[in-house]
Amino acid sequence: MATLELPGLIPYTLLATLVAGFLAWRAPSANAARRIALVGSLPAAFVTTLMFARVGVTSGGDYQFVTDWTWVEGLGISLSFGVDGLSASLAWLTAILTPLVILYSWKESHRPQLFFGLLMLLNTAVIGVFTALDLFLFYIFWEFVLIPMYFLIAIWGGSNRRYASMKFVVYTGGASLVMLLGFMAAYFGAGLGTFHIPTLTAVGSQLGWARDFGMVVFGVLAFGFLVKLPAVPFHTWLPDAHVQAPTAGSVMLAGVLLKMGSYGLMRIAFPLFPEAAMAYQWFLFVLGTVAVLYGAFLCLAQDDLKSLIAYSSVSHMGMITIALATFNDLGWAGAAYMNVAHGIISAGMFMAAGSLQHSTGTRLISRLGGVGVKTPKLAALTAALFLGSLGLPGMMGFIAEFNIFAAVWEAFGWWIMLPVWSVLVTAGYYLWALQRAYYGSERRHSEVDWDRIHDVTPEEQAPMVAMVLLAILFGVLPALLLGQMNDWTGTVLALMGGN
Amino acid sequence: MAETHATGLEQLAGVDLAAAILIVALPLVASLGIFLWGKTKWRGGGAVAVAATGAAIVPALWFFVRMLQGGAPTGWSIEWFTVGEYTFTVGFLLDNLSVWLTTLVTVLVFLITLFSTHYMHEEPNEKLRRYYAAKMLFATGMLGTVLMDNYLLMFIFWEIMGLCSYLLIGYWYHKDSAATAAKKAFLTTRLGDILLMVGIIILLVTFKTLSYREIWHHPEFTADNPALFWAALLIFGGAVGKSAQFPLDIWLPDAMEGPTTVSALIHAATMVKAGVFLVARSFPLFVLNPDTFLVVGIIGGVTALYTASMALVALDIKRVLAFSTLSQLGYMFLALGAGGIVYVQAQNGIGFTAAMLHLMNHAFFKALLFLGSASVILGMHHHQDLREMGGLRHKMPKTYWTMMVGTLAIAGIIPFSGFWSKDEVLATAFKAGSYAGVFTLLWVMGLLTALMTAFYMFRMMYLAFHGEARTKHAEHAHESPGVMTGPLVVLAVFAAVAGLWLVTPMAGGFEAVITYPYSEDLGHPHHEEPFALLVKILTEPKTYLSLGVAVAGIALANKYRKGLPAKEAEEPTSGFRGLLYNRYHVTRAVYEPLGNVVGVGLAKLSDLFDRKAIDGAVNGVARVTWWKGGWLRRWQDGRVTTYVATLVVGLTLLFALMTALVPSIRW
Amino acid sequence: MLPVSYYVMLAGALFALGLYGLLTQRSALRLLISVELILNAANINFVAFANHLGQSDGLAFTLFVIALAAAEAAVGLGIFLHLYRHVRTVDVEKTAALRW
Repeated sequence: MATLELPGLIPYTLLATLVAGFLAWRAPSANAARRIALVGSLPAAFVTTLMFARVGVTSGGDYQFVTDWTWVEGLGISLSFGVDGLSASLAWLTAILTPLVILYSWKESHRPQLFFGLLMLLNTAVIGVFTALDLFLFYIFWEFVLIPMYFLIAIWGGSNRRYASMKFVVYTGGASLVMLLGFMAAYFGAGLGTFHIPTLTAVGSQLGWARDFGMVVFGVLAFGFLVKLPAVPFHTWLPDAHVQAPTAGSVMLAGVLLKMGSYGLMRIAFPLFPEAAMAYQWFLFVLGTVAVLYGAFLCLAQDDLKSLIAYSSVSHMGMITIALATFNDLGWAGAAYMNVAHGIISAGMFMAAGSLQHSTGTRLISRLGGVGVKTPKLAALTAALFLGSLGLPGMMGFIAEFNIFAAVWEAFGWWIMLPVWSVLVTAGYYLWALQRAYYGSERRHSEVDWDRIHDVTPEEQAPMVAMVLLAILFGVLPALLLGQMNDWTGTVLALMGGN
Repeated sequence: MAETHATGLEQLAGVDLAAAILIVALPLVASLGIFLWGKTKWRGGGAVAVAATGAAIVPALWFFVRMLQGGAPTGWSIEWFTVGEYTFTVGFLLDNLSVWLTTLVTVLVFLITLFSTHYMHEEPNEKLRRYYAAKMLFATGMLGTVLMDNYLLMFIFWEIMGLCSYLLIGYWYHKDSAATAAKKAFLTTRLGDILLMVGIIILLVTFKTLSYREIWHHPEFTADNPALFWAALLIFGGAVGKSAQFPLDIWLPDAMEGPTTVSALIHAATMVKAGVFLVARSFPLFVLNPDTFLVVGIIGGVTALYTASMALVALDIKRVLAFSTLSQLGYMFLALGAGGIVYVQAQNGIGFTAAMLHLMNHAFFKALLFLGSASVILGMHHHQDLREMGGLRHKMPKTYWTMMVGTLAIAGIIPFSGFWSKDEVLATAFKAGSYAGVFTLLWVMGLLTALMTAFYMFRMMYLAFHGEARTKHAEHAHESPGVMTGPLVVLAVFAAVAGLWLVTPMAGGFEAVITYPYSEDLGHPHHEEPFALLVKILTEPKTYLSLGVAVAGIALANKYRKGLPAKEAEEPTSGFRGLLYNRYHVTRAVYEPLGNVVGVGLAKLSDLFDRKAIDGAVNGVARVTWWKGGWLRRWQDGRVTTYVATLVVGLTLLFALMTALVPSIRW
Repeated sequence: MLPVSYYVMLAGALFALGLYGLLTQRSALRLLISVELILNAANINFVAFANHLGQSDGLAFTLFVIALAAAEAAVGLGIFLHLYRHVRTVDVEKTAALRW
């Protein structure tokens, strides 16, 4: 089957989502706002599912649904959109998460119109990042993501939200500026007069960058992406942002925003500078291993459940860094797969943490104990999600981890024995948290009103169940995702090694 | 459908394929159904579980009978997913090893599930559905582990079993002890699983496939590759975790927190055997580097003795059985280890046979003993301390006699099943001793273990069933109903006669059947004809040595016939008995510090570092900016004159700079 | 004609006076006068050089500056009038509210 074009599909879908967000913001009542937002998020969900399926059925190696509209001709900036094996699943994930998040936050009562409008804006911006095929456009969407996220944290966040939102914007925004420098360097250095990503990456390996130039620019580009990932030691914006953000914000943050970092590395940094990237191979491996282990140990020390899940994101994204450092098919396909796996599972985990807070009034594990008897469904869902995150076979996390570790052995041999222990520590902190909070005998703390504890509500339960089912689906039928990711890996690695 | 190349296997098709799929699918579907409808429509799900497991016996028996008639191994596989140059498949491998074990497992699962319908009848439906759903999922896991044809799928089902073990140990999750035990079990086995995973990965990258037969027949399957040595040991690491061998044995005794039927099924009859199965399945890999067998044998032998010693003073009936399970598993690994040496040196497959025979026998008599103890516990109104029992043989005769059969079997008294396998295990160890001296020591340890086993098992039986009833519960104990005693009787029959397969010519004798899978791969080890084997056993003096040791053990336990000695009324805390009772303080001395000091310590350190150092740097940047900004803004004092002055100074500077730096400027 | 340098020196002296006034005076009106001084110093310069070089460009600029000075003085006076109405003073030291 030939690749499908349908120019304009992606930009119009984005526009529709944006308009729906605007309408939700300006809706006359909370009810109207929610309904508009929910319905308005469906076109994007539908279109991205279509694209995801189509790419899966044809080939993940080529860009499909490509739109190429000239914008600023003199500078080589174009409105280019498209998806391939790497981005189709990520765009789909974003578009699927948004209606689920809207559903989860259905009962939001504080300024709901603005809330749902911002969610829709976030949806647009993130899908834009994943589908943009022009560096300039990519940057615009990248920065655009910060705006709704800032407001979501600042207005609906926890007690320390002002600090967290400011930190988030300044830290990641600052890193983005550095990244912009990298973009400019690549633009001028390539001398092709275009920001078009496919054009640039197609010749990336043949551009013959001077070694120093390549190393520096790759480092600069990678810095921006690594801060978003987040890579240790530039990760400290994440715990604060996650803990203070409302559940919807955390879900989107962990589910898709973090993936922007790894996506950027895979889409832009590596293909443009393959030789320089190779030179950084060991550095990336060390960075990833540190993140994986350090993040895991940090989780053990956390009392706040959301903080624990946040650090586990650091740990898992460290796995992706390691996977990228391997430079082989297993690792890269594993990294792409892990992106989606972590997106789905941690989205669910944050929902579970949010439900715990709604139900008991606290997220602090030390204030809980034996709550599981009062919230059996929530306990079961949390357990399922935790088990998925620690890589239990049967769910997609395992496939990702297995592939990645196999790639590590292939690329680094016995060095695998360093990051592999994170699997044990991960299981440790999840089960320990589960046990202290949900299982065991009842420990009635003064801060928790025991009698008012209720189990998870239907609108909270449905999205979490959806996440668990998706994780199981892709765990049992990984080819659904891996097929296209595999194609992409083959194409991009060939491109990079083409020199 | 991808062909399994280079395996020379007859392909499963049609009815056979459906039968193979059914074996795994029936419990899985039952589990799903019970999870969804167990609370509302299916009254807990017990009946469905019994039906499903009973039905699964049919296709298993179908294959079993065919195997006895001399059928060749068959297989089938389908592509699952591809990454780069690696293709992962799902498939069945039905050779003698898997068919035999599958039949064993399906029968045991059925009997234990049937038993639990009454044992668990006091539990409410919403809890019961968790129990049965997890049990059925577990059955799927065990059967899948045995039937799959490649390491990846085996690993997946292996982990599913681990999950179910976690769920079932923590069945009463509102109890701290149960929740802790479940977590301990999962984490300990997870450690083993990590090692196993690395081993599998080594195989994957070396051979580009994980199918057993493709690996054994691969041209690069030689001893030249040093990584394969480690792969074997790593795979054994997984077995150490799952089968709770030293040093990962700590989770099994605690796992007794779960319902006794769970202990019977998972922690005695099936899951813990998976490690033994794994080593057996990977036998050719170990043969490549025979030194690996030393490790297997040593760990097995050490575990056998070490854990048997702990059973000597145990006061909880389930604990005795738990330690005994650990000990008998040690025997199996000892047999595999010694058997491997003997195989490599003398082309004799007796060790492998002994291990597998003991696996089967142990499955029967341990399931019997655990279910029997469940019957006792139920009769005692959920009291399991041996000190509270006594005189139960009059109140619960069926339980008593069936358990006695099991006890005689485990003690190794002729002609019960345990005798045959234990004798062969010891004989193999002795034989291996002539090739590797350490096995002679292990043989002695094995003998000592046999002595201890007979002792503590009879101690347990006497304390529970003989003497006078020591508490009111014991006085008012009653026999269990038919649905529970029925399986006990069936298991007793098996426990009595199963071992005789070694020396009867059924399908050529057990040895012929069980070594068949590898005869072509490993070069036809020679084996005795059953009758000749019988003669050899009966005329070998060491047989009577091990018999004598067992009888001695029984004799030593005689004092418990009259009841509990006074000094054993309290839990021992000091001296040698205290050491044994507290399991050598290993958990407190080694694992807890490791977990608390290293684990939690590192965690707290990292947290401090993260918040104070790294985040401190980030906040520091903000603070410096703030401070400098505060210092700079004083310039904005709101006075026009200041601004004018700034203007003038700035302009002057600008002019000066431009004149200096831009050479072509002409004012 | 006097040498141009004399006129430049005069302009410079006026400029310096004006600058001094701008930097040190407290009354807003005096600031305005200082600004006028500076502007007129520039004007002197323009006229002198226009005469010296024989070009009329400088004279054109002079007219511009005069007009500008007038406009600026008007606006400035207007602002200070308004200011006086609110704070009853034209002392710029006292009207430093727009600060850190």
